[in-house]
Amino acid sequence: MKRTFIGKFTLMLNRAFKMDSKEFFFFASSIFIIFLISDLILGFKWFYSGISLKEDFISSYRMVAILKDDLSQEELKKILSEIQKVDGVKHVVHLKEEDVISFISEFIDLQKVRKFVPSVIEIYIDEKCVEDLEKIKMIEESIRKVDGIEFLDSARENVESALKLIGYVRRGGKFFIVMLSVGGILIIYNFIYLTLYSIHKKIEIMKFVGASSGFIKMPLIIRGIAAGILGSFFSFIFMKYILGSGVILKEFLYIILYSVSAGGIGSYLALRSEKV
Amino acid sequence: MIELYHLYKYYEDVPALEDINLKIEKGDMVIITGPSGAGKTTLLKILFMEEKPTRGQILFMGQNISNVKKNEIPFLRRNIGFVFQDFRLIEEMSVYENLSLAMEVLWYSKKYTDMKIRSVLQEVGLLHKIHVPVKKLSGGEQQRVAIARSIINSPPLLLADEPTGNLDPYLTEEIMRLFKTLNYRGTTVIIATHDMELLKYARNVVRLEKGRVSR
Repeated sequence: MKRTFIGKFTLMLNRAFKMDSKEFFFFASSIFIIFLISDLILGFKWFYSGISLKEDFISSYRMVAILKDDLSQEELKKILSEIQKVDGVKHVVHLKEEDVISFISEFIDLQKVRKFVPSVIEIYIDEKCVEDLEKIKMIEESIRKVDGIEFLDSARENVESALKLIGYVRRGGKFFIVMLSVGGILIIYNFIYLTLYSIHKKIEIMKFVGASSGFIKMPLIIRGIAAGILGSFFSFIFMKYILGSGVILKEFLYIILYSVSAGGIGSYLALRSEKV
Repeated sequence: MIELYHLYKYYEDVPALEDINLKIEKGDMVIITGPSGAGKTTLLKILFMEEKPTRGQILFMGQNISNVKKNEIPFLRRNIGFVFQDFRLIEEMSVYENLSLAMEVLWYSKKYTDMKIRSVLQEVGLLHKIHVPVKKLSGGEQQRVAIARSIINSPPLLLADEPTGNLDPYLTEEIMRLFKTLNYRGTTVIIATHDMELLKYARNVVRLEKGRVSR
């Protein structure tokens, strides 16, 4: 006479997806919003991993030193070997004349440059030292002490500014993702709230005939979660197969997890605030 | 079945019910009457646990429900059918869907629900309208659907607030006869109305005036 567990579950599913036109509109809107938010999160992640600001900056960082004039090959070798020994230095490269001309010509008239091309070396620094400004300073001082160095440019201030800027972008990105995530929950909350408003008469009648709170809430929570799953699924399909991004299954699972949570939490909060 | 002891209900400082003492036996058919604002609807709402009394005690089937917890209300309500003047049906749904809602909340199987719906519609004479949307029914038919919904779980108590308020005299007669039949079968029926014509159907009459039982 009474339903089995499966019978109860089927009834809840049936009630969750049996919608009138208004309810369907709110459900479809929730899916669309989750789709947009998931795409923004995935898109931001895609963009960010594509440019990988910090890693690119660190790997391309180097100091430039101008050597004194008229150094012999032996003296040059000695300088390179001494700099190579400095803690934190990865490797040292003696630039070819053409490279130096090309480098200096950005700042000085090319005709004048050709008359005196200095001997220039590039000093590559260990990646783990680049973020440590004190370490950069120490490396700089050690290199300056090497006999034969005329001028050394470590661009320490630029490193500091660049790292700060990258930090801001990273923090901004995290903040953006958190805001989007919270926004998603609030939007689902709003749509479920509107759904509740559109079916308040039905809910009132269900209460009159003895429906428990769980009986009323469960289909709406299932609906919120379903909106999350569908929204994130469409978002994955869009990113992967239409935009051709490198979204991987792991990221998709994170997005599904987020969307399902957003759908569930948003629905739960709306039902709680309406005191269903 | 129902016992009320020194029941008071105030809306802020305005008294709606004052010192109500009543005992309604199982199988009784009581009509609560009185002018508008006498407290009839308030009394039914308190019995249906839609409102809480300010003071006093209510015993329903031996259980004190004057301070019942919110989460217990749905389970207690399953023992009470309620018929409203404005029917409170979901108009977009069919007769069948409206009735099945009352069965679904109790987790009855589809087969049993089908059987009960057909049987109760037969009883109220609306089996031929089983799949018709409620909005396409007349007022009398809608009220009969509402009654069918209220009795589908065979509750021991049936409350009705002005159930004939929107109906013509012919339909009123029809609906009251239906209540009488249910009462003969053992359901305790309490009807609130200001229509003195209906008193002939009652076994007991409770008159309310300015929130007090007058006789």
